[in-house]
Amino acid sequence: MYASSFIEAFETVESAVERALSLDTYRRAGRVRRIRSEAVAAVDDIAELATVAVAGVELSGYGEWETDDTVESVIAARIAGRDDPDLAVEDIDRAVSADRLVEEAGTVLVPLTEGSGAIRNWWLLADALRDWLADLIDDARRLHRRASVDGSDLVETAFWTLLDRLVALRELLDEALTMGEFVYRSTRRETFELLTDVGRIAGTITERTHA
Amino acid sequence: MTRKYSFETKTINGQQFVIADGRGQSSEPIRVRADWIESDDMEGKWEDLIKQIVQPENIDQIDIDEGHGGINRREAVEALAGATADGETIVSSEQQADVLVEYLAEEDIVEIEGEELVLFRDPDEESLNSAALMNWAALMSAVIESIDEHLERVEDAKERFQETVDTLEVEQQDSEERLSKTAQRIQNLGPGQGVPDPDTLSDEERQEYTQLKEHYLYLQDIEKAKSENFVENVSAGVDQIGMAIERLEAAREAYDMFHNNTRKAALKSSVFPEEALEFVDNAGSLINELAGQEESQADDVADEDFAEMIEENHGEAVQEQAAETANLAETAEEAAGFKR
Repeated sequence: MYASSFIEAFETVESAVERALSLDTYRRAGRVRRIRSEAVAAVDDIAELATVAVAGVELSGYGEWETDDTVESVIAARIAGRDDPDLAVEDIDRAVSADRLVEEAGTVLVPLTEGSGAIRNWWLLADALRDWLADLIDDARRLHRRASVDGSDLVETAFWTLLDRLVALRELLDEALTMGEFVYRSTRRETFELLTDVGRIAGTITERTHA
Repeated sequence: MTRKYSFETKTINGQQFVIADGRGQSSEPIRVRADWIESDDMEGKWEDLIKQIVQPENIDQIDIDEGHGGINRREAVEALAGATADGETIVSSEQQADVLVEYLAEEDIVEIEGEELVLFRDPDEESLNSAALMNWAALMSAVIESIDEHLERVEDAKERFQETVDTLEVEQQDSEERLSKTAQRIQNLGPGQGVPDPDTLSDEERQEYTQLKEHYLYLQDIEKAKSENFVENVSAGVDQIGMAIERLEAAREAYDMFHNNTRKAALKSSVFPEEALEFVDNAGSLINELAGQEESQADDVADEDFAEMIEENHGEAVQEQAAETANLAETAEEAAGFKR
């Protein structure tokens, strides 16, 4: 799985929401439903991808890596619709060597499920997607408000479920990032050693009381 | 012991000084205040000197084996030079500190064996004088202080973990609310309470029903992806750390009692307290453990190795931590003497 799978699905949602926002009226239920179905299908795809990705990353790899900037630039360029991330060849090569990027047929891809580099990539992508989702949620909220005034109950429900799906997706990412941070903190060597060592001290005291 | 100095005490302007002449050296005599040692009351005088040598920062330099041990003379000199006690500078130079260390030996407060300053002698092997008892009390005090520092760090870690638990719990509530709202919308489609039979609904209502049903199932799938048990695991870990802290504090109280009793025995020139003998037996390994904690390896681990380590550890991270803290709680409780 690559970051582009997520980004393409997000683009589909964004495009459908923009088209829905540009409609003059929501009284033509058939047209609204088609657009909504397209958006919902893409959101479902994202959720499915996220489910696989969240399970695959095992919530680790939260700490900063040297090649983060390069991967972030590639992700930002893809989200902005640019194929060329405008990076030095050496930077790309370094990220490829570190298993952070993959080059296929002249295209730079961001892997999400294979190797330790991919684990770190997921966290960077999740952060970027969360920002993008915030914008999509704002648009979906506007859609729902208009549908509440201008559309039938069916249209209102259609956009309410779209909005709610996006919010649930954002919470999934939020929670995944929170968990990642927790695991990072709890497995951070210093903290882990501290707890282990305090355990040993207590054990030593015990030996004393049993002596 | 090979002495480096010969001593003479002199009173100058009403204050007693020790004048040290370097044996076989042509250097100038070195003068230090004698009242740090030659005092009727050991409290707040040479007790402060010993505390300065046996402070938590120096604990990794202390070596004790079978109730006998001390610190390298050089380390003791460095600890004393420029140090203050109750706002007073003990000695201002390393030369003066070296004189003071040897004068402590002259006064039988410590012994010097080669390059070692022997502070601790085994009370099981010989009857200890007040000075030797006070040295042990100083060590207990340093150990307590060191444990306090570690407890503070564990408490900080617990606080950070608790923040995570709070955040996850709020997010969990939002998810449940979302499912509940969707269920309510489905129920509202029908004429009464409960989920309506889709066959009884109009075409448009049935389409709404289908959208809401799909949405409900979607939300459930999202929930599955959220590793529902994670909050519980993290909460359990935090609880166990909390219990470990409480029990370590109880153990620390026991040390406090040993310290007070030993110090009192020193002041009254009585025998080494029976209950504190176990401290002596185990002081060496305890100090090693405390000293080991000061050495963080965080900076020595390359990020890539660190990431690999996290990957390997992740699955058991919370469980391992829970096990560590459970063990900690158990042993600390025993240490406090509540469980033997």
